[in-house]
Amino acid sequence: MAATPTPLKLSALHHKHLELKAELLKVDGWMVPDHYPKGPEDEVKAAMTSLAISDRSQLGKLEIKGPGTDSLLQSISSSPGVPGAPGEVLLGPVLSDPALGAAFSPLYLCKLARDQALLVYSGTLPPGPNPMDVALSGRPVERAYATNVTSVYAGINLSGPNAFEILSRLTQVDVSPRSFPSGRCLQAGFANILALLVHVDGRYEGQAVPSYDLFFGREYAEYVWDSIMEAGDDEVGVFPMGISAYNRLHPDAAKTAGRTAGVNR
Amino acid sequence: MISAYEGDTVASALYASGVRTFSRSFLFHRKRGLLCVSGRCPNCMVTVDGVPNVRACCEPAREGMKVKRQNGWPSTDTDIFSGVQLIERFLPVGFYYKTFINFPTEWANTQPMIRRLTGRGSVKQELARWNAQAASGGHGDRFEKQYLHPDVVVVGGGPAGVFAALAASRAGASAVLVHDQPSLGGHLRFEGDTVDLGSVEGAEEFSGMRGYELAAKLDRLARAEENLRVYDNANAFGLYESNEVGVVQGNKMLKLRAKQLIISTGAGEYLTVFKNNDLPGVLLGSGVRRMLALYGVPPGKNAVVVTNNDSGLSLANALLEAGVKVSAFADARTKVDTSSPRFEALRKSGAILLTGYSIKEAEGGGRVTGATLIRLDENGAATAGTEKSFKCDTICLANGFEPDAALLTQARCRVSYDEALGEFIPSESPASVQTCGDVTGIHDLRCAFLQANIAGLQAASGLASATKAPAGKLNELSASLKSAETAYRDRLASQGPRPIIGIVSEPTDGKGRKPEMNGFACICEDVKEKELAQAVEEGFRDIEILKRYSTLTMGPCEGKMCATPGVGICARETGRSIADAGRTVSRPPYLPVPMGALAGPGLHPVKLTAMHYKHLEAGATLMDMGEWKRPHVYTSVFEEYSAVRTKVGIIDLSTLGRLDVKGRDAPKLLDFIYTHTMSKLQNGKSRYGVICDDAGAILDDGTVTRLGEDHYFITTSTGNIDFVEQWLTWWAVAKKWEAQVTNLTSGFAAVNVAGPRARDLLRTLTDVDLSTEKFPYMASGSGLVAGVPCILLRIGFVGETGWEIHFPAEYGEYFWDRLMEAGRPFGIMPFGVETQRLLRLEKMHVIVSQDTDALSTPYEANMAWVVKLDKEDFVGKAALTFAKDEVPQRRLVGFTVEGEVVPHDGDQAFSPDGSTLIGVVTSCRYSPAAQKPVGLALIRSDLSADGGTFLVASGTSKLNAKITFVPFYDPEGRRLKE
Repeated sequence: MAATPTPLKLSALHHKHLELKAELLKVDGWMVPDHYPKGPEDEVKAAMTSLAISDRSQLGKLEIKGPGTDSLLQSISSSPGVPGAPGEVLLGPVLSDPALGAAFSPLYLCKLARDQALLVYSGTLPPGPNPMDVALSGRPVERAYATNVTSVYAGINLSGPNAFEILSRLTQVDVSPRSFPSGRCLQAGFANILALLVHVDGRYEGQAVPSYDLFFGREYAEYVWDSIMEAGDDEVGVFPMGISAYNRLHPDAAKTAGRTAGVNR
Repeated sequence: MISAYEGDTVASALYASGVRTFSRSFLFHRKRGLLCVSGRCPNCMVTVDGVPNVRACCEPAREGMKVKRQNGWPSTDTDIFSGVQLIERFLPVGFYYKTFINFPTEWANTQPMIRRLTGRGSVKQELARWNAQAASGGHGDRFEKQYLHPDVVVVGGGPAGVFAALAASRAGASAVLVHDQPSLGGHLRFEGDTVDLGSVEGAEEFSGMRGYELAAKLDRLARAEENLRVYDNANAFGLYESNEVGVVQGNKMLKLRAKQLIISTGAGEYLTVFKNNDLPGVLLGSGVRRMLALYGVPPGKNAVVVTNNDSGLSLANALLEAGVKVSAFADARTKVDTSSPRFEALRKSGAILLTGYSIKEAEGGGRVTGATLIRLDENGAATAGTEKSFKCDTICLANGFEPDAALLTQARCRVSYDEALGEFIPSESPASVQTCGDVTGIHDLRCAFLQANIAGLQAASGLASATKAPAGKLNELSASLKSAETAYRDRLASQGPRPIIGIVSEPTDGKGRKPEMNGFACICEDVKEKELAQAVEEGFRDIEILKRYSTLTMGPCEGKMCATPGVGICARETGRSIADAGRTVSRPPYLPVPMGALAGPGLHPVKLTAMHYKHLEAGATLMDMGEWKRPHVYTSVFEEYSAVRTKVGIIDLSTLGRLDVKGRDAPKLLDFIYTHTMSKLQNGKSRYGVICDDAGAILDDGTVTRLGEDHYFITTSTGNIDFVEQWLTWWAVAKKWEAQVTNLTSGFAAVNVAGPRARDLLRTLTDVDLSTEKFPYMASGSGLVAGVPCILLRIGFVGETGWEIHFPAEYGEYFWDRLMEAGRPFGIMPFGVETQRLLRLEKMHVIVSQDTDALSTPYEANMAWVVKLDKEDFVGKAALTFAKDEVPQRRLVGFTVEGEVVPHDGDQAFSPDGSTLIGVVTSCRYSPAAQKPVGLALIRSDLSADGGTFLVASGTSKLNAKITFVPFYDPEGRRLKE
């Protein structure tokens, strides 16, 4: 067998980024838009005045499910909020299992149901025997199953004051900040497909920035991107945003991303 | 070319330019002019930029817009079809029923002609417009939907609606206010009188200013309110389950799901029925006020005002102020104080003041040239011999209001007739619905203010997010409302009787002849008063039946102009009271809604595989497979076929469904779901599996691979993944088995590398031992291929040595590129679905749902080997146990035909003598291996003997098919296994 170069990971939105003439950089093996032609300053401004859309597909996703989910989470976490209640989003380093490796940095844990949780992280997991396998240490927990679903879900972030305006054009569920405040997640129909919506606000210069992550089947990525862009109009502009501007609006995410040290220009 | 000012509507601009005829009527093609000027009547419907039935009085004028009047030929001014009036007596009420019940087949021929005559736009024109847009690269009109869940929805932007919305939002509720005007304030926008709301707490903020000043203030306040969102030019067209309000705003549809609903839709004037009441020049009073105050367009030079309430006097004075002469002022009431300054002003202008008078007839041909007024007796009936005629060009009707109660009835509010008010008003409402303003039948601003505040506070009081209003405040407001309402009713009672039902009963001539009753009760459908009387005489006495028979209230105005007079006529003709006659029920949508707005934006999900752009690069033509886009063919089927059979080919299999099943009961679950035994599958092995239903019919097929003791990897057909996922999950739950099913379809991309050089190619990219000894047919393994972590399955749908390789989707393009690069020396070619179909057909491999149908069992499909009846219970076991010993009714057979004609999938199969239909060809292609057309057919089993024949009817050809059960290519399967 001949030597092979390092495999390149492409988001399902890669060709959208090329079409929009994004400048790309490599994050954790993924090609990710650093910024689009107008530059990060304009992208931050768009997010502060209207709505910015970012590709977050490179985020790691680890699904834990089964009746033993809570026990498993508690066995590999020292965070007091774990395991959390359904619909809750627990922020920060909620899991600390050495078996997950040094390049693993949790961003938040979505408690999807009584016996199901999704951990969103930056970085990578140590490879298992099969592509989606995850090895966990700690005491063995019966009836809890972990699967690496990073490849399964594409991710899109919507940041800006008009986020609710656009979301309410594409989903029938009540996503108003009163009913769906920051720190909550829900699975709902979105643009006629099923998506996970996670509300975790960002912060810029002391001001809260409404921010929502959407996760959905990777094969729908271009369709969802286009649906969001087309839901915008003259009053509610939707602008693409690269990781550089995104990290300014989400300093916590940027911090953990930095820790994984996987960024190459 | 017509000029317009900013703020003008199409109607105001046209009217100011001298246009008086806006459309032709539905049946008689009579001229119709502006009437309500508020979007409630059908008269001003025009075609704007190709969109039919746009109400000109609500459509803002825009530069360059093209406006066409409707329903006249050759023109609306000179319409040849107005001759229909000459045959009026041959078109009685119920014409269609009476005529076509005896000639039902004639209806099909006549209906298109009638449809053309009736105007109301054309779908053909609309389609042509869309096609033209599509041809020029456009996407047609843009439609939007939005879903909101506010605490409180207020419908109506008049003073009551705004007061209520302010009260609710100030109490902490999130509120949405929808109204159909460009600015808030309702009728206050054209009221010059100083507002006095009394001494109630909070009223001082709004008192002491003129009506239009208060309207502007309310508009400002509402838009500044943080918790309140205002939608202008938005029509609430219906109320559905769970307080869902459907709203259309241009091309946008809002679905508002309200916890509390406040209905303040106000009241509108309706058309009084008298002879020639539809002539251009007859206008409703509120319409005239709008024309004067909002657009500065006087309705004419010389007007007659006909009224039965206080609004008529304000109207007459507004006309005088605008320089319009008022020839006569007729007030149907007898006890009106005519000494007020406003009456004095009228008198001074030279107007003839008549109390106890109303209108008998509008004079004129194509437009109003005069009015005949007539005295009413104490019962409201006209008195013969008291007629007075006046020359005029405008007749202004201010003969009372009808509460806009459509949403109320849809909200299950009880609506009943109030004798004293002369209106149908809400009497009981559900707890989640409040009402306020003119819709309650009380046309008094002080009452409206109190009702609105009570409604707003009550709506907010049940919400967790809102502050609870102190009980004392609500009590105080209720007490004030009671006294204000009593004062209003007393004032009304003091003014004497009036014709309140919109008709002026004509006097008889004393010779026993019936009155003419030639006035229009319904201007949408051209239904005259006499036709309603005739319908009642024919026995249609119930208002709902009368409606269906006569089409009263069934036109575009949805009864806004005709419901009240219609009820009046029904009551009079049946000798009942109005309360007993009742009213028709309004159903949603009660306003016209563009179909595009209901459909919303075209959100049609599309799935792309991770290698999609590689296929485009390679010039593939794509096909739809469910929501997926798949390469159909890249270069040509035979080129691709040849590469697979002689060298190596790759096909994108990312669309296959993939499930991960884990848990201690996973083996048990799969044994129960599949007909094969999966618990005995060794680790690292794959097995073909079929899923059946209880009747033993095949639901899906795929592969099952054992990755560990309690861990399986399943593939399903592309279209059935969601079903199989649900099927497995459902049974795991039903059986209380410990098995977790995770859908990994989106996470994996997959390719099948197949052909005699497949192994050679893959060996350049992986260290996994691919030799037949280590990696035999139906084995599985995992490892790095081109540095990418993969699951490899040694299976072959196309009948060649091959590996199905599943890998994380983000590597899709990278992996494809590496394979194509490494495969170049081996002559690699990508192949599409069509080539795959041919390759598998040569091997007689079945495609479930193409070669089987909803009743096919594995026995019919010659797959008895997948059914293991010796294992414990599984889905379909009972039926399959029975079927095993029975001769199946049908059987899937292979066949060949001689010659060049290739039968089509779906062609019919006949018995050898051609006399009996015996089945269907499920698949057929020309086989390069067999050098003839080969196929599969599902036929009667008694005619399916090996070597037997049947006939295939393909187009005009009858082809002899010879049955075989031996695959057409590599029957021993050596190539697959080598």
